[in-house]
Amino acid sequence: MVSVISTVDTGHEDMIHDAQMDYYGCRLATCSSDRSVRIYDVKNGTQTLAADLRGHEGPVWQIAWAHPKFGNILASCSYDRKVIIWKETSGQWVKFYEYSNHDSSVNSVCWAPHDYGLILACGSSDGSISILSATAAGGWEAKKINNAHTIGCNAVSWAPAIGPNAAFDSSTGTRTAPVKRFVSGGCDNLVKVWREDKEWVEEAKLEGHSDWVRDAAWAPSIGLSRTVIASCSQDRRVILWTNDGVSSSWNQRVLHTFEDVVWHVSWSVTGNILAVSGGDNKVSLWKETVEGQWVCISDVNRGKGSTPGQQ
Amino acid sequence: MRVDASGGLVRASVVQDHQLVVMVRKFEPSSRKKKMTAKWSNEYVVAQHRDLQASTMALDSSGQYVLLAGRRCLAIVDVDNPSVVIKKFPRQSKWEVGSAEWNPHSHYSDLCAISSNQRTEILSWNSVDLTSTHCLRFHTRAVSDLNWHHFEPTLLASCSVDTYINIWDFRDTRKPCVSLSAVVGATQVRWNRVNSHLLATAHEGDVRLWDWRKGSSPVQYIAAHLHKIHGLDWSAHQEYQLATSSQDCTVKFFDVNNPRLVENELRTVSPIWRARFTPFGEGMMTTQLRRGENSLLLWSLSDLSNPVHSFLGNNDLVLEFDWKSSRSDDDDYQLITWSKDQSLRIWRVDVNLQKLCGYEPENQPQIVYEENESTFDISAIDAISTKSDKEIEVGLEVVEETYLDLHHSLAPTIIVPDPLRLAGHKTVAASIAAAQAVLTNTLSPTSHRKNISVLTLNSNIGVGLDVISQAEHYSFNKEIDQIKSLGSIVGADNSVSVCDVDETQRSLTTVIRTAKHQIVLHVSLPSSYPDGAIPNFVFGKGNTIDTNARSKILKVLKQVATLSCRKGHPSLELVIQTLLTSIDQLTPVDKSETESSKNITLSVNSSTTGNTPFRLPQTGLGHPSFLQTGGLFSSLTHHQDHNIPYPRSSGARFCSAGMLICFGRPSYLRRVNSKTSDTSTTPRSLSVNQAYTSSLVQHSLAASSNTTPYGLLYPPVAQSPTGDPSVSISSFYNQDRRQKSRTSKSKNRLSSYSSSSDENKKGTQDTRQHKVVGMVTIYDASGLMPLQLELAERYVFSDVDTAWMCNQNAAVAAQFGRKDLTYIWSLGALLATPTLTVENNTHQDLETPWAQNPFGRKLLHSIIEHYVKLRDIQTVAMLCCAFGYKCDSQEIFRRKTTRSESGSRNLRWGLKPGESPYHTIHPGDTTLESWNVSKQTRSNSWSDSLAGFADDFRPGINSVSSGRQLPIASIFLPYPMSVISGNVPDVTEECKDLSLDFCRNKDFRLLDPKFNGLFDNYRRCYADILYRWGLLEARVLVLKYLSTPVDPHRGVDFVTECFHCKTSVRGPQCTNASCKRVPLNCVICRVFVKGSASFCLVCGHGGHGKCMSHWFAEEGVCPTGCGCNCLLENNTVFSV
Repeated sequence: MVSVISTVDTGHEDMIHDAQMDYYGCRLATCSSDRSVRIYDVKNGTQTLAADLRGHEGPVWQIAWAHPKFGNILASCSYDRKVIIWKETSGQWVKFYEYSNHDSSVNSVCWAPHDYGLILACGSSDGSISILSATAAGGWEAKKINNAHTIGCNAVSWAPAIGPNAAFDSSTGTRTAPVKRFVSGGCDNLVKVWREDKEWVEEAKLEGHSDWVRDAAWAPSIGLSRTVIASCSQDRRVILWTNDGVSSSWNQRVLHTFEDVVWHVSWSVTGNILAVSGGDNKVSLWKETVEGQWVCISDVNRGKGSTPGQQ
Repeated sequence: MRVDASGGLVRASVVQDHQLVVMVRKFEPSSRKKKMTAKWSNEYVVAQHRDLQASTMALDSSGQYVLLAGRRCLAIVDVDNPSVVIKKFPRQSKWEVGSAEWNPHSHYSDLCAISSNQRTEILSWNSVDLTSTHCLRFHTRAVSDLNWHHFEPTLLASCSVDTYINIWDFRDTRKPCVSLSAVVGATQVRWNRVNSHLLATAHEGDVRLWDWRKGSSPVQYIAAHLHKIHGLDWSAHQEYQLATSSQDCTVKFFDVNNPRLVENELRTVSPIWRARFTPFGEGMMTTQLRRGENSLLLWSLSDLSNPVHSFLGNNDLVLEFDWKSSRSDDDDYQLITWSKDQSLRIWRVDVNLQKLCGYEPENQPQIVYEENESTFDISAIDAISTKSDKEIEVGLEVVEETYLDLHHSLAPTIIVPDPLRLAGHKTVAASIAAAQAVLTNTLSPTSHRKNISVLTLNSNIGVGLDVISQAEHYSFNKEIDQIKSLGSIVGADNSVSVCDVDETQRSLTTVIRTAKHQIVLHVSLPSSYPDGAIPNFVFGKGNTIDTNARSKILKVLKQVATLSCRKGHPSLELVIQTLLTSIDQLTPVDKSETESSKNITLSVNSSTTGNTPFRLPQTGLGHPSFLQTGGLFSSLTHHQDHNIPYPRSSGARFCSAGMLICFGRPSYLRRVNSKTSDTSTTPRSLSVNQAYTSSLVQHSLAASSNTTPYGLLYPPVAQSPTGDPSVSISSFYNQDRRQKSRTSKSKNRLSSYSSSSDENKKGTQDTRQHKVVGMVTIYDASGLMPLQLELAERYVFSDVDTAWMCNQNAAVAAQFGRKDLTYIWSLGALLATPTLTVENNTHQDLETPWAQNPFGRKLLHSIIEHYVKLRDIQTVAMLCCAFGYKCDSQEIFRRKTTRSESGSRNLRWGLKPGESPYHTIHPGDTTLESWNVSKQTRSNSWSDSLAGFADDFRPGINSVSSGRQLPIASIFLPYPMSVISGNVPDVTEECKDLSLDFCRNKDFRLLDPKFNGLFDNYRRCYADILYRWGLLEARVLVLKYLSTPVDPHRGVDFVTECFHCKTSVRGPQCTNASCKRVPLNCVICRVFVKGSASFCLVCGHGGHGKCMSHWFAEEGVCPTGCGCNCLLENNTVFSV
C-alpha cells in the first residue's frame, strides 16, 4: 500500500530535524543541525538540489511551506532564536524576512490556512508564540502571545479554515468571518487552543499529558463540524482530542502508549491517518476505522481488513 | 619520603646548606593525558635566599640574571641556577632599595638602575662584578619609582613624592634633561611602550599623562580610582591602552584618549599591587596586596570575570615578578617571582597557558599519539628516591642519579640517557625534565606497577615528599563559584547551595532542593582531579530519594564526571546540572524508606583512583568534542534555554496529497537497547545533552569573536559547518554502542581539538557523513488514502445530464477496479433518472417530489455520509457536484439555449439538477431591476438569461402552483434569494415574504439545501486536493458547484472604458443597455478583444495579448504613438 517514490540523499552534514514536501509534492525541503535548509526538486525518483539556504546560526528545527498562491515561500526556525522566511524570486531563494524577537530557541513554525492570508505562527522555548502576518504594504506584522506556555512552547498547528464556522450561514444570509484558531503544545504538559478574538485568547486548555508536549497537530477537516487534535508527548503517549464543534468541551482519548518518547504527529490530507514518530526511530501509521476505532496500519497484518471498501 | 599514592605532583625536598631547593614535577598520568598534563604542570623552582633581605627584584634583558636588592646587600642570581647567589655585594645604607630595573636595551644590558631614598644609582654588571657607574641626585624626597625608556637606551624616568618626575639621560648626571612638575607626589612612572614621547605617572588615585617634549603640564588627567594606585602598565601593542591597579581591588583599563571611560575593569577581593600585561597574547598578571593572598593571577583580557589561571605556591606577598622571554626553540615563558619571604620562584608558562590569554602560536606542534584501549588511567608518580640517608647530603647530583636509578629499576631495557644527563648539569629541573622524558617513553603497564611498588617502598623512608595541587587549586575555587552561580538560575522551585567548602581537602557539600526532593551530596576531589580522577560523590544525610535512585544517580554522575575528567576538564558544574535534571525524573518516595536509607551512605569510587587502573565505562561517548568546553560554557546560564526540547532526529510527515516523508537516524546511530521502556531513555531537553550545546558553542568560540547580546551563552555560530559527527546529538545515540573506529576518531579529535583543521580528514569524514545522516525517504502513501489520482483525472462533470455523468464515472471507476464506486455511481445514475423527475411525477403525486422519496434524498445522503466516514472526500465531493447546482452565467446561458431547444420537456419543474432554476446567483448581478427590465429584451447577458428563465418556467410554475397556489412572483424569488438576500439592494418586503414562502418548497432537491455549507466544504476540500495534484481544470469544475458566493475580489481591479460609448465597464461586455458591445478594441488590429488582453498601465493602450507581445517583442514604445515608453514605465510601476 505504501511504496517508496524516491530516496533523497540530502547531503546534510548533521542530523535532519524536519523534512517536508511542498503543496504540490514537487519540492522537498529539509533542515538540519548543520544550520542549513536544503530544497530539492524531486521528479520521477530523481532529485536535484535547488537551494542550500544558509542564514541560521544554529541547528534548524522545523520548516514550513506556505501556500503556493503566495509564491514559493518557506519558513524555518532555529536554535539561534530566529525565524527566517525564505522566498524564491526569479529562481533565486533569498531571505524574505527575518524575525528575531524570541528570547530562546524557536521550535516550531506553521503557516495559517491560506484563506487567512500569509500568516505564520512560531512557538519558542521562551514560552511565547508569535503570529507574523504579511501586511498589504509588503511588511510583516508581529503579534506575540507572551507566556503561552510557561516553560516553553514546543509546537504550533493551525486549525483548518474549513471548519464549521467557516460555512455560510443560510439563516442570516451573511457570511460569518472564519475564526482563526491554532493549537499549541508546551513544556507545561498542556495543549492549548487559541482563538483570535481581536486579540489572541486561550480558548481551551487541554490537560492530559504528564510530561512535555512535543507536538500537536490539528487534523485537516473535510467539512465536518467535529474537530480533532492529536498531541504527543515525552510521556510516550499520543492523545486525540475531539470537539463536536458545538460545545466547548474536548474529549480526550489516548491513542497509544509508545515505547519511547513521541516527537511528532502528522495527519494525512484527509485526516484519517496519523503518522507517529518518536525517539525510537520508528514510524507508525494509525487509521480511523468506520466504527471510529484507531488501528495501527503500519503493521501490515493488523491493518488488513480494517478498511472495508478500500484497497 | 612521603608519597601521596593518589599521584599528581610530588615534591622532594633536599636540604643543602641553608637553601631550600624544591623541585616539583608533575608526571603524565598516562600517555593519553599528555596534552592536558602539560597544561597544568607549571613546574617551578624555588630558591630561598633568606639572608639577602631583598625588597625588590629585577630581571635583566637577557633573562639570565636576577638582581635582588635590599637594604643590606645586592645580589645577582643566575636564573638557571637560582639557588646559588653568583655575587653578593653588601651595601652600607640605611635606606631600602625602592625599585630596581635593568636597562632593556641589549647593548646597555649591563646597566641596572636602583633607587634608594632620594638617589638613583646606575650599576653595571660585567658577569663578575657589580660597580656603580652613575649616581643621579636631583629629587628632594624619596624616589618612588623609575623606568627605563623603551626606545632611548640612555633615558630613564624617575618619580618621587617630591612631586617631580625627572627624565634623565644618564650621560649627563648633573641634572635631569626634563623635569616634570606635578602638584602631588608620584608613586609610579611608566613610559609608553609604543609612543616614545608619552609617559604616565600615578598620583594617589589619579593618573597623569605627559608628553615629555611639552613638560609644562600633563597632556591628560585620568581620575582613575578613588584609592591609591599601586601599579601602572602600558599595553605593549596598543598605544593608548593603560592599566591601573589599585587599593580598591580593581584593575581598570583605559583608552587614554577617552579618560572618562573605563574600558574594562577587573575585580578581585583584595587590593592589587601590580597588574601587568603579559608578553604573550592578551593577558594580565596581577599580584595582590593582602596577607594570605599570595597567588599570582593570570587573566585573559577577553574575559575578566575570572582569572584563567592562578600561580599558587608563594607563602608570602609577591613583591615583584617578571617574565623571562622564551628561548628560540620553544614558546614557553618563565615567570620569575620574588616574594616577601625571600624566595625566588620560577614558573613555566607553557603554550597552553598562554593560549588561555589568547596567544596563538604560529606553528602549532602537531601532537600525534595513539589511543590505546589498554592504557591505564592512573597518575604516574615520579619521585625522587634516595637510597640512604647519607646520600641525601650529596645533594643535587644524587638526586639526579636516583632518578636514573629509578628508571633503571622500572624499565631495565631503556637505553641510558645521553651523556649530558650523566655528566650532570646545571639544574635539577633540567635533569628532571630529561628523566621525565625517558620515563614517559618507557612507561608501560608493567613498568608502572613497578613504579608503584618503588614508591611504596620509598614512602617508608620518610623523606619529605609532598603533594602540591596548585594547578587544580584554582579551578576548584572557580568550580565552586560555578556551582553557586547555578543556584540562581535553576528555577524558582529549585535551589542549589554549597556549604562546607574545604579548600585544602578539596571537598564540598552541595544541597539541592527541588519541589519534590532534597539531595545532600558530598563531593571530594582526589588530587589528580580533574586530570584523570573523578570526584567522589557521597550522599549525605537528609536526602529524600531512595537507595535505588541514589545508585542510579550516582551512576549517571560518575559517567558524566568521567567523560569530563577524561579530557581533563572540571566536571562539577556539569555534575550538578545532571543531578538537577535527574532529580526531576524521580518520584518522591515515602517517608519510611527515607528513614531506613538514611544511614546508608554510598561511597563511590574511592580516592585511590590514582592507583586503580580504571577504564572508562564503555559509553562510546568518546566523541571528540564532547564536553570539550567544560567550564567554558554553561547552557544553564539562561533559564529559558534550559527547556529547549531535545531535537527530533526522526520523523514522518504527510505532505501534499498522498506523500509520506520519513527521515531518521542512520542505522549506526540507532539505539541498541531501545526495547527498554524507560522514560529516561530519550532525554526531553537539549540541555541534558551538554555535549550538543557545548559543541555548538565550541564552534562559535573558535570561529568568531563577535560579541552578541548573549555573550558567551550564545555567541554567533560559525557559518562553516563542521563535518564532525560528534558535534551532534548523535553523540547521545552513540553511547549505547561501542565505537569500533576509536583509534581513528581519537586522531580526529586531536586535530580538531588543537583547532588546526585537518582538511584531508575532514574530507573523508564528510563523505562518510554524507552517506549516513542525510537520507530522506519519500513514500507514496496514496494507497492508504481514500483518494485516487487516476479517478480524479478521468472523472467527468456534467451539469446537463446527471445520469450521464454518473454513468460515465461508474465506467471510470470500473476501469480502475473500484467496484464499490462503480456501484455507487450506477446508483447515482438511477437516482438522477429523468423519468423520476417532477415532470413525470406530476400526474402521480405532485405533493411529494422525488427528492422526498426514501430512495431520493435520503439514499443520497446516506451514501454521502458513508463516504464521509471513510473520509473518501473524492467520492463525496463528486456526488455533491453531480447532484449539485452550478453557479455560472455561462452555464446558465448555455442552459437557457439548450432549454429552448429541448422544448417543453424542461418546462416543468426541472428536478434534473442541471436544469433546475435553483442555482445560486452571483449577488452582484442579481437585482430585481435587472430581472424585470431584461424580461423583454433577450440577449446573452446574465440578467437576461435569468429573465429567460422566467419565461421558460412560467408554464411549469403554473402547473406546480396549481396545487400550491403560489403567486407567480414567488417562483421568481425562489430559494436562491435566501442565499443572496444580503446583497439584494432593493428587495421589497413582499418579496422577502415570498422568498420565505418558497423556502418551504426546497424539498425538491436531492441534496438538502440545509446542508449546503457542508457540501461546499466537501467540494472545497476536494478542490484543494485536486490543486495539489495539479488538476486545475477539474478543480475549477468542482468549485463551480459552490453554493456560497466566492469572496469578492479585494485586490486591484481594472475598469475598462467602453470603446464605443465611454461607459466604465468591469466585464467583457458593455453594461450600457444601449451599447452592449465588447468594450475593448485592439489598438493594433482594431478588432474587439475577447480573451487574453494586455494593456499598458500608464497610457492605457493595449489590445490582444498576442498582438501586444508581437509588438513589444521588438518595440518598447506604445504602438499608438502616444509616446509612452510602455515597457519601461510598467517595469517601474510594478517594481514599486
